[in-house]
Amino acid sequence: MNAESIKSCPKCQAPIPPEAPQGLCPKCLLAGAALATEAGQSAAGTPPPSLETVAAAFPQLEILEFVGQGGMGVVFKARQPRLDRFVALKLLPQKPGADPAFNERFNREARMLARLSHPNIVAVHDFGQAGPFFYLLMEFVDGVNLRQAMRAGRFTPAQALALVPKICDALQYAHEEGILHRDIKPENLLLDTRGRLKIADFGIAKLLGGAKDITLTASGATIGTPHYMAPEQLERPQDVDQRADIYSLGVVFYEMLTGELPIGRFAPPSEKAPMDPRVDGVVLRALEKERERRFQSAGDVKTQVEKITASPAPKEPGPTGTTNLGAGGGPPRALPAEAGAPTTVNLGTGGGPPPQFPSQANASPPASPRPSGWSFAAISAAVLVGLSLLPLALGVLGGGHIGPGETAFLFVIVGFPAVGGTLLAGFALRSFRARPGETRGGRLALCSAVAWPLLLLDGVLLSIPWLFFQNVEWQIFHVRNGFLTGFAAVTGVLAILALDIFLLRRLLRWDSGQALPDAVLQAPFNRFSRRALLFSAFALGLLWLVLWAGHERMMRLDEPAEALALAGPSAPAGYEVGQSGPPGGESTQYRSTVTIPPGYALTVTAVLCSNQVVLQPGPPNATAWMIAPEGTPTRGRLTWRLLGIRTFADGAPLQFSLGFDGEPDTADKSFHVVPPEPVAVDWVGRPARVWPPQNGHTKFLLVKGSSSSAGDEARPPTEWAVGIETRLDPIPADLLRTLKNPVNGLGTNWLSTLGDGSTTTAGSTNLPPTIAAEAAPAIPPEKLAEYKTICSVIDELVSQEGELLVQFTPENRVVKNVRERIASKQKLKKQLEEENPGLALLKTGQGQVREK
Amino acid sequence: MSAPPPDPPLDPAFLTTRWTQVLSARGESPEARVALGQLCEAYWMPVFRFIRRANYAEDEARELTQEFFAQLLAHGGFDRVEPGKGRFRSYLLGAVKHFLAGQQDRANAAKRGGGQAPVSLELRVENHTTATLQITDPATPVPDAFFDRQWALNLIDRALTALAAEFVSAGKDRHFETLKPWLVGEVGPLSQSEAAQQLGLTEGAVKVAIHRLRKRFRDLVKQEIAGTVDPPATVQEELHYLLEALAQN
Repeated sequence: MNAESIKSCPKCQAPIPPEAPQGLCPKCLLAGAALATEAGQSAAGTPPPSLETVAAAFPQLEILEFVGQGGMGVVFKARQPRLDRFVALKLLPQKPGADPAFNERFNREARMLARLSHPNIVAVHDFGQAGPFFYLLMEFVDGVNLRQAMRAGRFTPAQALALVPKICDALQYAHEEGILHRDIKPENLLLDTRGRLKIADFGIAKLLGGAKDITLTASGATIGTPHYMAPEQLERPQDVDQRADIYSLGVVFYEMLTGELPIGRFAPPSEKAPMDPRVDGVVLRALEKERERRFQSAGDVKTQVEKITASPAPKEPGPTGTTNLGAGGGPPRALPAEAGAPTTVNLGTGGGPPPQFPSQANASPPASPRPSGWSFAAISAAVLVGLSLLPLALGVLGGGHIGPGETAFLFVIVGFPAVGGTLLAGFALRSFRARPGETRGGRLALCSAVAWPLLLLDGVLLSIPWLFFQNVEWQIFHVRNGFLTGFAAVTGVLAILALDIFLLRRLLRWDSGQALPDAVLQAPFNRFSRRALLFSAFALGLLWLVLWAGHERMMRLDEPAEALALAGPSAPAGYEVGQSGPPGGESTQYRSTVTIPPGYALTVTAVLCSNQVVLQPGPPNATAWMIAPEGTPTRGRLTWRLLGIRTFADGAPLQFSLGFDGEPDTADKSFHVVPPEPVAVDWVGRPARVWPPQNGHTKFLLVKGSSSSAGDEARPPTEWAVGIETRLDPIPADLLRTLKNPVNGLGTNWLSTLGDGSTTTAGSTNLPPTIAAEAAPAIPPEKLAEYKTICSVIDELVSQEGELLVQFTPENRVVKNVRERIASKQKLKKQLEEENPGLALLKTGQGQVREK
Repeated sequence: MSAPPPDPPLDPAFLTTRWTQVLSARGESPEARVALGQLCEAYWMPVFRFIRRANYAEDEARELTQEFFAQLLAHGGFDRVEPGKGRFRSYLLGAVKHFLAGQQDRANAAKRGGGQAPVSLELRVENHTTATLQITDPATPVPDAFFDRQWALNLIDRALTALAAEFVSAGKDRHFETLKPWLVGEVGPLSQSEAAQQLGLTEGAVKVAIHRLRKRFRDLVKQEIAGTVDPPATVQEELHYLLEALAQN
């Protein structure tokens, strides 16, 4: 082999000898091995920046020296020449630009920190980004941290008791500003040369931790030294509040007093060093594992500590077990120097006082038995709410008897307070939590308690005019005096609202005399009661709106609507071919579904190949047959007109499906939906009689008119309507009378005259709502029997079929031959059809005239 | 940078290094013999090269090396080693030189009488060929530095081989091959991101892997050295010495 080209080492550029192991430059290899291991540095993180680098990034500062490095960043001592003061420049480990979310968070958090202005908190003068650094410019504290102080010499209890209130002050201030420290430990508590305490690195933990509240820094050190972290901070770091800081404070306190950390089963401080035994209570309470049992605020801690320092110590059961009697014997050892009454006699206030302190009225209840999550009261309240919704549920289930207005009414009366009460209670809870230990949200709770009764009252009050309106509906709606009703409604609602406000105020004033603290009395219309009032106003407004809108809708039906052409000459949309036919028959059915808007009628023009048209009104099970009379040409144009189908009282539209039996010559089908006769309104009533046509101008219609049972073939409708189309002029008086007095007394009647029913027409003459009735000639006696028979036949059909629509032609030649055809009911349809090309007999059931 | 911290304590298994064993037992105990045997096996190469360099043909050098070691193992002559100051390297060097001197005398004696194998003009050193003919002046003794250098190379080789074996046994031979250029320093034929792509790792993971590789190499080198010096504290000394030996080339 020839010599390979001699490679050079990329590092030292020297040629790599051929015998070099693995082809690597041995000098450099060994040199690399000779270097000491730099722990962690080559893997992550960087050595602290040099002074020059920092100085270059901060030209406005004199960078003096590197002070220290920790998980939170590096700190330099610097000087601001213009202000002639020393500052601490903290550089965070993050690199600007690497994480835009951090940028934003940094700005936000640093701004919050900069707002903290307290003599015991290291002030943040400035923050931002300079060169490759995120920085915080802070007050420079010339002194030591608590850790160093503790190492230098043990703290006496007196000194500890003097320091703790200052820490509490700072913590309370910061907590009120909404900022937690999260990393209280001796290293973060600075003592300057004049003995002042300052807390450093406030909120840095959150700043560096970020949205996920990561508890690791870049180099893997945990933020929040574990020994000082509250249990909940270790377990659920995202769910900490100010009580975590109090725990940390407790740990520091303990360490100051005893020199040890409170780990595992630790002894109370007074057993480890001579001191006032009341201190135990404070320390132990701050160190409670469950935060509900801890001090709820730093202020409480301070209060307790100051109590201890203010009053002389009772007989101390210290480790030596000595008691202190006698005056002038010198102060008991554990009395803090500031007590000021060292020479008083301390005869026992009993044996060692209990470690628990009586809590102030505002503090959270100490060690109360944990309330179980399922209080009887809560359960019964939930049951009551459910019960209150029961009528609504029943109403809905009960078959839709409830119109939209009633539904909304019920819902507002019942459901809204439930929702509103929940919301108000939520607000109250939040304000409880924001100020733990204080009584807040009482007013809100009160308002939420009265919300439902008030709404009920409003409902009752509103119902009075409602009922009034109902009864005078005819006049008012007929004259269309919407303005009057609107005006009455508005004033009524405003009056009720005013009543509500008045009642609430009285109630609050009464209640404030009961149990609320004075502070609450001072602002009778503070924002909580305002909120409650707004809520009731909104609820009422909604209620009124709903009712008014419901009525509006009913009123609107008086107006004629435009004709709606569903389809052109070709097959309408939704037209589909089905293979089912009437039972017993084999046929092709063409189905299409047409939704008839309320108040509209359907006209069907079709070219049929057979003489059967199936019309399915209402719900799908109901089938109605529309049969062309015999002799009707099976080809060509046939018109079937369905008149005056008024929709159900609740406004639900009727659905029709139109099927054609026969061969698929369906070249020409059209559906036209025409508006009803202008004065068509709902009617109900059961036909008692049918009057014979006079000069062939009367049509008799039996139409199902109630929505209570919508054509379910199992249940015949409970109410019927009869409408008469007549060209009679005048209308016979008894006819008119009967028609105008339907059985159940509701609704008006519909009377109109129509054009020739055999042709498609949308035109008709409008009849005034009231018709002057004039006496008409009586029915000739010889015809009476016929007519009665017809009536009874129809009655029978009605009672059996449940729904029947009969349309007679103007000529009504059926009457002529009814006597002959009456014998066979099966042939009735044929008989009826024979005479009239335009005759349609529609019935429910399975497509046959059913016998009794 | 501040002064490097002291070397971490060696693996307890190596606290009694082989050389220490040998010395403490003066080569007498069976463990000492085993240890010595291992050391000789490990450091055969520098001896061979040294002998080779002393103007012997390859085969002859090989034979001589074997003979040397056989003699060494038979009667080590450890009384010559000063306790507490001994390094296996120095010892071996002295022994080899001594041995060669003896050989030379014999050779000289043979020269006057016996046949010698001709020296081939084309020298083959193991698997490498050198284009140049290196004929050393037999009169000039092989410099000690040469031995030291060879020693260093051997040491590195052993460490690298052990390192490679570790990676191979962990199924990471590709890692080793790709990342080994970084053992010398930051500059490699590949950039770290390319290496990351090649190995299917993130760049961070590559950094960590490189760091670990270097650290492991360092540890192996130190282990290796520790096996040849008596008190562990002199590992660093020896390392620096060898570094200089390499630097002199």
